[in-house]
Amino acid sequence: MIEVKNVSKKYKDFKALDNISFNVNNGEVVGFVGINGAGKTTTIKISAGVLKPTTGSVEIDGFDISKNKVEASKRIGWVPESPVFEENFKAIDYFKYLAGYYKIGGKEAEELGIKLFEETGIINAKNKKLKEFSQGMKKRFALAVSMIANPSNYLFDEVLNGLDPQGIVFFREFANRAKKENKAVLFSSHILSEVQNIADRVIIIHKGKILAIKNMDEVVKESKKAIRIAINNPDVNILNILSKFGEVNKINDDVFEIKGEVSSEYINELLVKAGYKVSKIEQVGGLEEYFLNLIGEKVE
Amino acid sequence: MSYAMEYDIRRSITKPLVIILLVGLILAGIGVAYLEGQVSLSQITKYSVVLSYNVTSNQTEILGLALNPQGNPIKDAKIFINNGWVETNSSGYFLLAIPSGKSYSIMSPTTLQISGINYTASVSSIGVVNVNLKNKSAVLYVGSYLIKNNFNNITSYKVYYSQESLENLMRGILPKNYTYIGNIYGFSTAKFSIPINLSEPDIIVLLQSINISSNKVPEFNFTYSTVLPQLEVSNIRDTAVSTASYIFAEFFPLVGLFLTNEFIASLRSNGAIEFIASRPITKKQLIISRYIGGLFALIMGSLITSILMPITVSYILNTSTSLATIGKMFGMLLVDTIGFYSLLYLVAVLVRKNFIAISIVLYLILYLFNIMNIVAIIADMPKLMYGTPYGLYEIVMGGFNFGFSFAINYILVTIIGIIWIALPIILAIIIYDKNDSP
Ligand SMILES: Nc1ncnc2c1ncn2[C@@H]1O[C@H](COP(=O)(O)OP(=O)(O)O)[C@@H](O)[C@H]1O
Ligand SMILES: [Mg+2]
Repeated sequence: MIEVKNVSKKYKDFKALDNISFNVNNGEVVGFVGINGAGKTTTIKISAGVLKPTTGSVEIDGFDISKNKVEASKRIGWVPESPVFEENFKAIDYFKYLAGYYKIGGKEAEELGIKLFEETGIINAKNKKLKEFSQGMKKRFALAVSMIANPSNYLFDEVLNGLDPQGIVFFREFANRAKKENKAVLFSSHILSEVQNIADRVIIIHKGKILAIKNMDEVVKESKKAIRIAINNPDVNILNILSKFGEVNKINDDVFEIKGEVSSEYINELLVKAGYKVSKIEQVGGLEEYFLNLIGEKVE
Repeated sequence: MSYAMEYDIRRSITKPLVIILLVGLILAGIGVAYLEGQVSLSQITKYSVVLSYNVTSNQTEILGLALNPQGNPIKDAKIFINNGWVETNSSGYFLLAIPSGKSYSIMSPTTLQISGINYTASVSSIGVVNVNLKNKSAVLYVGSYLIKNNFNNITSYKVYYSQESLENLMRGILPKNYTYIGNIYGFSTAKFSIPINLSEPDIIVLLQSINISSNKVPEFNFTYSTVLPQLEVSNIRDTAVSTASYIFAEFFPLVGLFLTNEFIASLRSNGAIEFIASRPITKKQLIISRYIGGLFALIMGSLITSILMPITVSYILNTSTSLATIGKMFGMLLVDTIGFYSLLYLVAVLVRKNFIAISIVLYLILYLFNIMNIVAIIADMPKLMYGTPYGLYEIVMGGFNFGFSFAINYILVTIIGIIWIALPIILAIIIYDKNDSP
């Protein structure tokens, strides 16, 4: 379990995080969504014990990441947004070096490395230097390293960003498996739809503040696509007709919204046949629009 | 943390660049030592002119014997003595007579010319020739000192001999135990075979007058000393080792610069330190572990050098070396290199960019141009030379003092050395721990 408690972070005079709090429970994958510069990476680095918060604290399975760094760090794996290593090392050698921090050495470290490289799909690059690794391979390597102590908490910072489809599938599956093993996973992204299929909950962050924490099904429901229809001088019967297609919202006298799985062309055709004068018909909503509405940015 | 630290250590001492630098520096040092040794060796005086005196009321007679290093008299040699040239006869002798009341001057060493070629010769009442380091034997020539006037009539002496270390002699400590080796009679030069002790280069000869007539005559004692020329080489060796080690001490700190950059500075600059900082380790442990990794390479380098360099130089010059030389060099190399290394860690935690530029400037100031020495000269404050690690090294290893004459203050050396090693790294650890990011 990851508990972020009233964390604020200042870079000199700039407030990157403003008193944010949230939990990631065991057996839960939480999406952490915000546009670039929202404060996701800062939050994740603080949770990984890399950055110090200006105020507030983060607890990993009850261990304070600042006060009890060693115990807390053992219990959390971090895959950075753009991982940087000592790149002249061979992958397996650097793995073994880092395993040393978990008091695993020699043959044991080598065997663990091979096992985790197999799991993360970089076994063929075991003896390659890290500087020859692609961005995706670096993320897989970081994941392999983060699995050394088999931690019960993971922080994935934009892991899907820039990955090939295979890599995306891999990380999704990994998150699902971790969830089944009752682990806590925080998955950051700047695209809400990216976490839609994995996350149980989503935390929306913007300008260093948490705007919303919602269950994923709630989000899906609220962000459902709708068809907005403007009709010249509709009669009373119109609501009956439209409600056949889904839930109808009357926006004003002439404008209606229908949520449901229906094509706008089909409705248009039907309404025209029934003698209505449709002046405008358009698709509205969807995750992206929903997200941008939430953070208060104008939709283009 | 233990395995990771082990790895840091292993990594630092197996870095090819570290090894190459080390080997290169040692070789350069030895090369300089060799040249230094050869030049000094050629300047050692192995020719001797042994003088006997016959002092009477109206004149002083001086009988000189010229000897080559093998102990053979040199005939027809020209010797510059008493402000003029004298020439030896077919037995290698010359005789000077100086009327009483007239002053004369005998200077050692002097020029000795054989068939037009100049050599340097020592001039003394004793001469050590035919030194055989293998058999530990030598031939000692002793000139007599006859006095005949109204009060004395001394014509013979008992000859004693002893060997002493240079340090004792310089402190004015004369030997307690002499060995009696024979007598010398009349106005002549006597020859004795003596055993020699290789560890004590100074030979001291004591002449004790033999009272023939009665106990009214006061006893005359003369002590002479000379340095065994062949053992003087051990002095050359020490100078050669110092000179060689200056080279090493001046450039070895660059290995520390390389290690600090490899181990912390470049990682802070490119961000690789973050991934390490997220391991189960505190920031304090992280910086200490990295520091120790590099430290080990520097200690190993210093140790290897302080063993190899004196041994190699001794081998080249065909002498032995002492544990004291090795120990002193090791200690001072540690101050010299770790002092800088610690400072670099402080720099590395203070800046994230420009580490290399700043370090090189510091290197130029503290090592290549050791500005403190220049300030010491300008301000006429010799103590300022103690201010830098390299200054300490120069002072202790070479008595290097730019013409200032002062005794080495070892307590000061120790205190400043420890401060240079410990203070910057302690500050670095404290500051690093307080930093918001690794
Ligand atoms: N080291 C830093 N120094 C100053 N400002 C920073 C630093 N790191 C991040 N920021 C700023 O903090 C804000 C949050 O950044 P970040 O956490 O990286 O956001 P995200 O990961 O959501 O894109 C941004 O405005 C960014 O410019
Ligand atoms: Mg980010």
